[in-house]
Amino acid sequence: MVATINLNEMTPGFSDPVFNSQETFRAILDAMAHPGRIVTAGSAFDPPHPLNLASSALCLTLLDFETPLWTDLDSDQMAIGWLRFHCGCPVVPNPSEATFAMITNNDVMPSLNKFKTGNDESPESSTTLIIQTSGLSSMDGKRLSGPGIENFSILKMGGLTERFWQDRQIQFTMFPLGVDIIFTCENTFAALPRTTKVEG
Amino acid sequence: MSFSRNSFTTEERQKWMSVLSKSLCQELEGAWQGISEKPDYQHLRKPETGIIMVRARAGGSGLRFNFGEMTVTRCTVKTDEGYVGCAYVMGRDHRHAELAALFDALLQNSGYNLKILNMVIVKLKESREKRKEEISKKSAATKVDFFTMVRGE
Repeated sequence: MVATINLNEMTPGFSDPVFNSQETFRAILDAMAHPGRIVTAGSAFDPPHPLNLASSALCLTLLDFETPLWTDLDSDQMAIGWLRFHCGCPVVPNPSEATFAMITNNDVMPSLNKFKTGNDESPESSTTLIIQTSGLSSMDGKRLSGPGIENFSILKMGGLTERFWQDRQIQFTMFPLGVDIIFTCENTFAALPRTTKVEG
Repeated sequence: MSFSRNSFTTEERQKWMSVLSKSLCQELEGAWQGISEKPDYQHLRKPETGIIMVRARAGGSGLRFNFGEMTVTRCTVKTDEGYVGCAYVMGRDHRHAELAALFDALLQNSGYNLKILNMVIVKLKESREKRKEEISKKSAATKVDFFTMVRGE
């Protein structure tokens, strides 16, 4: 049984759906091509609590009826209804069925291998994780290197557990399988594709 | 919420939504202009056009099959009093979807409901039935009966 969406507390999404999603998509390409680079989600609207602006803009841009979403939000939270209303995406109970995952609480997030990591024939059929962090900065953080990075880049993501980085290290050895990750904070985001090596 | 929700059943709302989406846009526009106290509103979902697959059952009770695709425009508005109106209309007329959604929102407001229900919906329904009748008449005039002539011996 699919829960009904409560429209009485619904808020609007992009003010200009076509241009705002194109703008955000361009920013995602930029972030993915340059892992660790902090980019800004351009559009302004009121994101549904507890999602931040960047997470909501990414969802509005990337999700539709063909992309099952797994999220750690409570099923009675307004944000789930907001995502279903504006994106039309199905919300699945199992991380291994999801094309996208929206994670708001890093302390209790499932291990990375619980998500789809693709298979040898189509490694791209994996989950893309959108993880909300308490801060993004390019000062004293992890040292990133790999495709798209000239020498190395520095990215600090607030609020991630040691277990998460251990999982990421294990996933890195599984290449070309693995998940791609986008970290968000307020209206900014940065990407950590599976090709990027993380040290420190 | 503080606003007073008009008491209506799902069936009643389905009926007026159906009338609104099957009316002509000009009729809705005229009715909208006739409303003296128009509420302010915002779009929760701006009018957007897409395609839906219409499914049918053979003979009305058989297996479901894909009947064909149809262009549909939908819109969701929220009035400043907090009423949310939705509309799905055939075709690509964005203004039609917007007006239908606005009327859906107004009809949920007890302050407007009876006035609008009597003035607008009943009228729209009548005019819709009239149009339907005219079309039936036109097509009835072109009715052809098929029969086989018996060859004389």
